[in-house]
Amino acid sequence: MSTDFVLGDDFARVLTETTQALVCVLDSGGRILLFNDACERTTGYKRGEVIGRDAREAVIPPEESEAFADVLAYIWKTGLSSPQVGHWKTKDGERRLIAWSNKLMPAGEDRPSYLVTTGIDLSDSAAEAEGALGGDVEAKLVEISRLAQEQRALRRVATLVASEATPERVFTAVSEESARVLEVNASAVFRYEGDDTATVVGRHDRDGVGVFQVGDRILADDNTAIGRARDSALPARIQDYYAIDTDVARTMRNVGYRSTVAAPIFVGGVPWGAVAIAAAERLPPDSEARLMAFCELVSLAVASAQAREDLQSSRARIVKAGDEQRRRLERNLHDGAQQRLVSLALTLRLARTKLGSGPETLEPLLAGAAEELGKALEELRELARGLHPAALTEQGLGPALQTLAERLPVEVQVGALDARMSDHVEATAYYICSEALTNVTKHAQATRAEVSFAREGDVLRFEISDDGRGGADPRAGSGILGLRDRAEAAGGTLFVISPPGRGTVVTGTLPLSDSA
Amino acid sequence: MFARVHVLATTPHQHDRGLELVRDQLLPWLRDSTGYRGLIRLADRAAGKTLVITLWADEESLQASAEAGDRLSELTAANVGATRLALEQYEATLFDV
Repeated sequence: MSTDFVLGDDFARVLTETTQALVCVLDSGGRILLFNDACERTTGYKRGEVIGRDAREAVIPPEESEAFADVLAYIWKTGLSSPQVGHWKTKDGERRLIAWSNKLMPAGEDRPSYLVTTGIDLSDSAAEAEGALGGDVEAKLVEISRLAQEQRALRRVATLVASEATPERVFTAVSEESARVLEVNASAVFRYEGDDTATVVGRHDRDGVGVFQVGDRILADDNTAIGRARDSALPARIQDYYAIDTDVARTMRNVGYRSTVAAPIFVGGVPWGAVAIAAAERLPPDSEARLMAFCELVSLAVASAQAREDLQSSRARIVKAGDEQRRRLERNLHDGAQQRLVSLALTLRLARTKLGSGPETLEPLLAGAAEELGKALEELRELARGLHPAALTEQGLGPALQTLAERLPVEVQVGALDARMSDHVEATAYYICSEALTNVTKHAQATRAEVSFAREGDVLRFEISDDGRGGADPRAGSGILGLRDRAEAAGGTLFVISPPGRGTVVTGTLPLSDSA
Repeated sequence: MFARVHVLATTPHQHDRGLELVRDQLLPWLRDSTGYRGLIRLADRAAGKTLVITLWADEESLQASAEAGDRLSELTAANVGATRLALEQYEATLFDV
């Protein structure tokens, strides 16, 4: 059946009236012959106000008047359509951006030729397009609120860190907050174990999948994001577990995760662990940067917990070292001088019972007693010197160490140091040096050692070196740790360099002002 | 548990004097010795014999105290005029006190 019947004059009229598009018909002079409802709505003009008027006087803004004339001239001259984008001005003087199509209708028997133009108002979508380029308030508000949420989350964690919460609490908080802020299903904090594994130290997941539990030790090789983050010291991601075939990928796929991002946590300049997030979809490209902010807080928490722990164990070691020294002292007194004095008492009693006998009986008894007494005295002197050498109080650090050095079985050169310092500094330096020299004679198999000092501003710098076998391990035994504890308790520092076969150097500083 | 056994030939008088010396001169020091676990003094007055047994926690403390034990028991015996017959070391294989 033909549809021609619908395309009559009535149809054209209805269409013109009902369409959302602007329909405007112009004569060859640019006068408006037809102005549909959409034109009225867009411009605010009523038909009666514009019909018969030159479009340039009614709706074409003056700044585009010339361009409009050119387009009209072109169309009338060539008869070709010329799609245009241009402005109309409304009755209120506003500008609307409109995309125009046009079609020249040739003259008929009973009418002149005319130009049909139809237009679509772009103003609203144009504003939107501009917004996408940075002007949209809504989008900016969303972004600002997202940043604010992120900052609040970071602040909550930071507050926790500052309140010296246990690292475990911080790890859990970081897992929760990073999952929330980055809008992911799961997040976890890992600690590297020095091989190709890592231990889960904090975790959070919204969907109860629970791939990892705290305490789980998992593989962190270069097929994993956390392994890559460790090796590259940069954030790393697995974009799509469905695209790779490893055990980890299968595990993650099985619980519905597609993508992971891990960012490394540095403590003391080395990768300590990582914060990692996982999601069912590909993670957005800014995930790495946002995760790093959490890593810094974890790093702070770990470092400060380590510092607290170090301080605690250092205190414990100092107390223990003190206790041990007292016990050693008691043993030395008991097994040495006391035993000699018991023996001496018995000898003198025996001598008294022999008073009647001749000197040939008494003489060896008394000689033995005198010798025993002499030895007891020497042992007591030795112990007293170990407690606090008189030379240190009377003559100062340099001479006291000189005296000590002369009694050691190894040749020791003590650098000149005549200036006196506070009792505390001198005593600390003396014990560190004498302990270090004891280590030299006991363990180093050295032939010679050297002690030197330098005063630099408010600091006494010391160095004890030997030509022994080296290889002293600061972790093994408490010898070196004990030295460091002493130095640090006085506000100073102490380092040991001891390459195997190349001697040992103990260096350190002590503050001269007695603030510690 | 280990034991050092001092075997002495003693008159009753020597035994009593020795008892005083051990109690007053030796025990206070002995009690502070590492691994010291006790002292037992046994007398057979009729046979003129005294046993002094010191007990030690382990072989290490027994050995560490050996030299002092020898010297001091010798001195004590000399003080009371007794003769030391033997100085022996044992491991206690049953101890129920």
